[in-house]
Amino acid sequence: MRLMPWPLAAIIALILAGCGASATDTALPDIVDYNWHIKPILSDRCYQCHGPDERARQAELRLDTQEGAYGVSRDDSSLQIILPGNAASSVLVDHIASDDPNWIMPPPESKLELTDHEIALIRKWIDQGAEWKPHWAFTAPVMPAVSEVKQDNRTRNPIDHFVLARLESENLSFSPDAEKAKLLRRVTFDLTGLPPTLDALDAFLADRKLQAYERAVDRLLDSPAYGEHMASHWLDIARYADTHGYQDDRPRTMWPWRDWVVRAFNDNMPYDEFITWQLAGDLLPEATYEQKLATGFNRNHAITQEGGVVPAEYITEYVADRTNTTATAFLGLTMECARCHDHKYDPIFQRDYYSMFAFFNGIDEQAPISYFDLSPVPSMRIEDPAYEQSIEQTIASLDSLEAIVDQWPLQDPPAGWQPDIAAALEKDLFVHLPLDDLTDLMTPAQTGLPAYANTGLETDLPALEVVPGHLGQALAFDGVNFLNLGEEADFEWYSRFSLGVWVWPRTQEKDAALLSKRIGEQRRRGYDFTRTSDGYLRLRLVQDEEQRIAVTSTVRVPPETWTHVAATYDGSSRASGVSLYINGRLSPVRVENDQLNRTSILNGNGLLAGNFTPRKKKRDDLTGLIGGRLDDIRVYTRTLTDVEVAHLAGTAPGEPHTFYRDHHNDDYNQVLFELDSLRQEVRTIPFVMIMEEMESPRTTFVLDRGAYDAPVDSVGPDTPAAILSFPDELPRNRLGLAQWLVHEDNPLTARVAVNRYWQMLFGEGLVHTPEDFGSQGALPSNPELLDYLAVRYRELGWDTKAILKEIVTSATYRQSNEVTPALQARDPENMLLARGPRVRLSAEMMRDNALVASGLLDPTMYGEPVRPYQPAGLWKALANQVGENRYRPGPNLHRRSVYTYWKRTIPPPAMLTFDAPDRTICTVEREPTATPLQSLVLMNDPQYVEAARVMASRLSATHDDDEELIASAFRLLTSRYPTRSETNILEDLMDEQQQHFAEFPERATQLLSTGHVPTRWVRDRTDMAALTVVISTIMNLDEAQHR
Amino acid sequence: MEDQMYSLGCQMNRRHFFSKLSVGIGGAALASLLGCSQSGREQAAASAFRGLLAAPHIAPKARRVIYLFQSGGPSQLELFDYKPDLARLRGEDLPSSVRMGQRLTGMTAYQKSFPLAPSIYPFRQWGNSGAWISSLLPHTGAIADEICVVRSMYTQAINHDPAITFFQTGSQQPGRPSIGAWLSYGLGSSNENLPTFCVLLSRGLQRPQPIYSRLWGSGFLAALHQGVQFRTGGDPVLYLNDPPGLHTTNRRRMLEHLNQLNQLHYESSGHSEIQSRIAQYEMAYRMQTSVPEVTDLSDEPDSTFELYGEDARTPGSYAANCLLARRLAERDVRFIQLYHMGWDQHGDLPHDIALQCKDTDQASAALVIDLKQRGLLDDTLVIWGGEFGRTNYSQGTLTETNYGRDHHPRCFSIWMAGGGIKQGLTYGATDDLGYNIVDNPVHVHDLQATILHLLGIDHERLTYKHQGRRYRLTDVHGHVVNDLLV
Repeated sequence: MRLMPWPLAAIIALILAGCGASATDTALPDIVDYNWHIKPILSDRCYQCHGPDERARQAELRLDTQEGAYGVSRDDSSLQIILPGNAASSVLVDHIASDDPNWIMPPPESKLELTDHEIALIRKWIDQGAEWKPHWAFTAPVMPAVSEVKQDNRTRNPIDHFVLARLESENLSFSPDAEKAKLLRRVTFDLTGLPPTLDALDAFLADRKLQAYERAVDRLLDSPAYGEHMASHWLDIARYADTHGYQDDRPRTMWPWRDWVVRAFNDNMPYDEFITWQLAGDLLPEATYEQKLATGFNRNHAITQEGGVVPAEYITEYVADRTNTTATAFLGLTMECARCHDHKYDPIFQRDYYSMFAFFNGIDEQAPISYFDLSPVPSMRIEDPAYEQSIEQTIASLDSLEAIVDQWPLQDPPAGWQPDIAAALEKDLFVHLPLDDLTDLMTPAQTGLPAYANTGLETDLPALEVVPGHLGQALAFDGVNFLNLGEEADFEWYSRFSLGVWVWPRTQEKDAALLSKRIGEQRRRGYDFTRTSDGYLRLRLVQDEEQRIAVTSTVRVPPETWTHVAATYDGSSRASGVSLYINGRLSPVRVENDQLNRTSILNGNGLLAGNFTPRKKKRDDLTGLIGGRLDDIRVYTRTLTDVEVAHLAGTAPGEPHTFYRDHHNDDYNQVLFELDSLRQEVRTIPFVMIMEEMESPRTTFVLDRGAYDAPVDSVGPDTPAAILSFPDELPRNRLGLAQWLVHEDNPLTARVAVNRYWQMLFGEGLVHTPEDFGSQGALPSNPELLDYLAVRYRELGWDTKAILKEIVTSATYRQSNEVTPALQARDPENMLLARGPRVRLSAEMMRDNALVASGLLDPTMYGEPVRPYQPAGLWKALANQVGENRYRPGPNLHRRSVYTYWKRTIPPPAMLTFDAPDRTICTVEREPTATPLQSLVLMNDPQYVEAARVMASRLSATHDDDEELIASAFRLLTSRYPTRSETNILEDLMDEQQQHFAEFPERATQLLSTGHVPTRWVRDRTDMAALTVVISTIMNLDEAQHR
Repeated sequence: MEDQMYSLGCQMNRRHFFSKLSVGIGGAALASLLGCSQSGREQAAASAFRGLLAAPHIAPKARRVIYLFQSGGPSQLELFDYKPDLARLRGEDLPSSVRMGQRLTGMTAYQKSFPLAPSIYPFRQWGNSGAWISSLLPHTGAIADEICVVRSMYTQAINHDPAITFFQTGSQQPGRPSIGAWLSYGLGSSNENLPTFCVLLSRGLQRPQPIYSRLWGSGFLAALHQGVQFRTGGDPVLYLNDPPGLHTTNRRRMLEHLNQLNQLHYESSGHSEIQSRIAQYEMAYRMQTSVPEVTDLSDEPDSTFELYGEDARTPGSYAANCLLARRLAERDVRFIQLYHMGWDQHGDLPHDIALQCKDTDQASAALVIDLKQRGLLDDTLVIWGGEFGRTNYSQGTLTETNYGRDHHPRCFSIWMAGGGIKQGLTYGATDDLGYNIVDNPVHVHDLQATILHLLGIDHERLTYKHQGRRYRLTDVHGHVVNDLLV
């Protein structure tokens, strides 16, 4: 049965109402439709008390069912609430039209009211017979007959019939086709997220053969950029992030799942499989690695590591998040409304919510997780042959290079050569604190310390005492206080570094920290240089309790004597790479641990002298330097040679062979450089979170008010009957749920999916509330078209590329988006689609566009998230955690934005400014806004400035003529040639800027040094700087921000 | 006043208005809400935007809010909630009849005993009102007759993240808009040169609890409404400064050419949003001047620093942020949100809280005094408070000079001053041990309802329809605390 003859004229009247004239003046439609006109009013204003929620129901009246609405009045059984054909005798009308505050509905305290127009609509609907219809979205779509149109020659496929029929009924028609260049720009962004290249534009403009556009579409759908672009949409829905999201917001490893999404789109995985794998890949027979990996979808929610949380409370939140996300993403339903009580508007009961919840409640997960856990259980080791192979290759190359370095023969220096040790010791000197001329240490301005050493002077600690030192003055410590050298010297396992200091210790019971990069706090990640309680010198490089290097001297550092101590490290991750020196002499050592295994020791916190943690609570076998003194602290970013350390200690140097090798052998240094680079590429195979059923699943209870500690009745896995009863033949697990979602009788899944595609291509879905297809959601602006697409998608075997191709090859999509004042006035929101879509670039597109236009884009796909430019200090201002408070840009600065590191509590700021959500929860639509902060990003973010100046260089290399150069830049950024007037304006700007920079050449140099990419000096700096400004101007055009 | 408030043009994002609001408000209301003709709307400036409310629900008492958020959970027992009886019972175990099954955080849940810990800091009565305020807060004490201390705040959350999220968004779980975003959405922009919702951060003790940018996020509201963080060092607002080498004259000329080009394109294409884009760039340019101007404290006389304390000369300090808050208030920024981190004193509380107070007491009081002397206090609401309180028993060992306190959601203290708030009132009371509220409890949602009320908003009527339901700051709870109002 076809339940939905939509009253077309009425729909249009409603759509166009409210623009200009006030709605009370709007004439009532000829035919008042329940779904279209009446239910939205009843749902919005009445269901709260007279809807599905039994506990909230007043006066035993419900208006969401036919029985209730047509039933008799509780007060007078001779009266009907709604008497079809007779509004005047309907109790409902009596209430809503009343003036009596005690009688009027909705009651004043509800703060809801009906307009006169709405009351008139209800009256008319009742007078017309009050025909009842089920909610449109809960009835399975049926393939509608293709609408007849007069201008058949304007249609290209059935989509156009549905759209044009509507336009014709309004005496409107399609706009002309968009110009080819504009169309290619539109479709290239829409399908790949990138602008068309100039070659692609030229080829398309030159291709006059039939089906040129279709071929271009095929090419775009086949390009790997398609999968990346589609993934960027899916990541919002899947609330994907690279961090856990609560409190300290520690990192997690989910990028292998993200890569799976990119591949799934590029492989054109049918949408039913795409759903099934993500919800239940692990439950498929003989589940493959990819099928399990896909289930990471439902582990993307935030997970807490905050100490002290109640486990059950958070596990409830996680399961609820999966339930809500699944409902929003696939069903377009607001299930979470039924978490605390029966849904107020839709026939979804609290019991239904927990029955859905039960599907996801069988995961053996933890709350809170341990602090450093990157992939909390259940998880699996990733299987990526290419990744593993590249790791193995790196390790193999590393081993051979290390062997070469280890066996490098020491040569005798030329006769008569003398090392200039003092000069060498000035090189790579990262920190040098002589600790002289110290007056009042509590007043940083007066300490004479460099700025970085001042940062951590603690005002609440016992003062550091200034005492006579070995060289000038020194500092005396009390075991509690310390000197914070600032967040410097962030060494990794592969960093070469050396520490040197003069120490005058006292005998003490616990090991005394001389220099320490805070490993006490979490007992991991960092390094410390200590004098042990029995007087030996020790250096530790630490990943955790097991993975660490600890090397101790077998020579003592005597108490109450000034002794020079030094440690050097060669970045090898081996204990043999550590050397300890006492008074300039290499000490024999005892290796206590040699298991760092090339794991991270990175720790972004302060480097402390005289202590190992700024906290007063010391819960380790370490303590500060009690009564000890330090003088002349030095930190080098290289491995000092023996003669250099001896020089620091003031002892006679030995043979200078290593010095000669390190400072004068270019071949050796070249190998070291390669070795260091290679070391930074070392990775271990990560684990990734997945779904996995526990042996005996938890019992699921309905939770009173949604509270984790208020279980009521137990429920089993089930789906809401109002949508589609769970078929008996399906298993009652996540796999069955997935099969239920893609069941041919499921009314929602296909509609929700095609609506999202439409939204992606037209900026707004056919249903404007992609997150809500229920009673409170918007009605489809073209219901037949929505149903056509939904049924078509399923008939095509859920072939996403095919359905997208059908939409983008429609005449509807191909229209020009230019707008006449008349059309603007008639349909400002383009609801009727009498013109093509005009959509602002998304956050990802905006940046990727600049990268492509400038040629900076690094097209490498997949892998770990990358860290593009971000203003310094952003993380630090908010975060407190070990190793995660310092954002380090690079090295892969110019990858596509879909790979940008997503820290959930502090997301990439420029992307947030362009309306990206923070990915805390499932988001199916980004609200486009226009704010001055966006202008600031495009004008001043180093990424855009760098792109402009790199473009200036590149175009200068290929163009001699400024007019042509400007035209190319314009075209790269807008996909069209500038007009004569536009060129004139830009040339005028160019002239002005050239004059300006000629006057202030140093400003040109400054401007051209923005960003990491070196400037190619193709022209003189005046021209280059002026061009940079001109190109930046084009980049900031409204047109360049749209597709 | 209200005319001024709402005269700054129209919402630029009309699609948002039509799609999200028309359902709830109805066509008629929508047309009047937009309040200007079709063409006027098209010309609307992107720089300022109208809020949802065409007129306030209630006559507003306050035009703006300065929220001095004390992150970490300041101990009410050392600051505002005077409990002489605790001294008598010092070291005795918290009676389970008092605790009544209150859940504990994982940090003290396994503690064998709960020794009652009195404040080691004395209290005294201040001002004509005789408010009991700790000796740790002499400056706050000195303004006791200006402020209203609420000793009966309570919350459900016991951990930092959910508790702060609750205060800022009305929900313990992330995803909802923060108060400032709600106000931006409801009342619109108040200023053509500065953001409507500004955020200032400072930190006290080392390694405080972190905070999160979602606390000033816009949740499901448009990104337009999110708070703008002011920073120290580098750009005071992200990306504000022109790149090195680009002088403001370059920028001006660049913008003039950009505007011409955008205007040309508007004329040929008819795309109305281009007009908004032009206005948007102009506001960005104005911000490039107005933000450095407001953050540059060099025009402040020495007397200002005497009032706020010398710390106010250090950018990024709490005192400097209080001063900056006053400067933003003077320029009619609607919601100024400060966060000061470092109140999470599980151990060494006596020592650490004294330092936190030293960092905050003078400047907090100075702000109130300063606003008053400039005639701004009458329509500025100032709020001081954290996300929960602390236990009356010691976390860890209780000694003569040292103890700690765990999180306590059942009672804690905040204070408010200015726009529409009673002066010199101490409101609500806890039991003799300072564990439970015995009089006039004020829930987080009640506070939020009261804040909105003071700004002229009925908290039940400022709603946003998302996922089919009307969301509001106070969820489905909250009552205006009329006792606090003038």
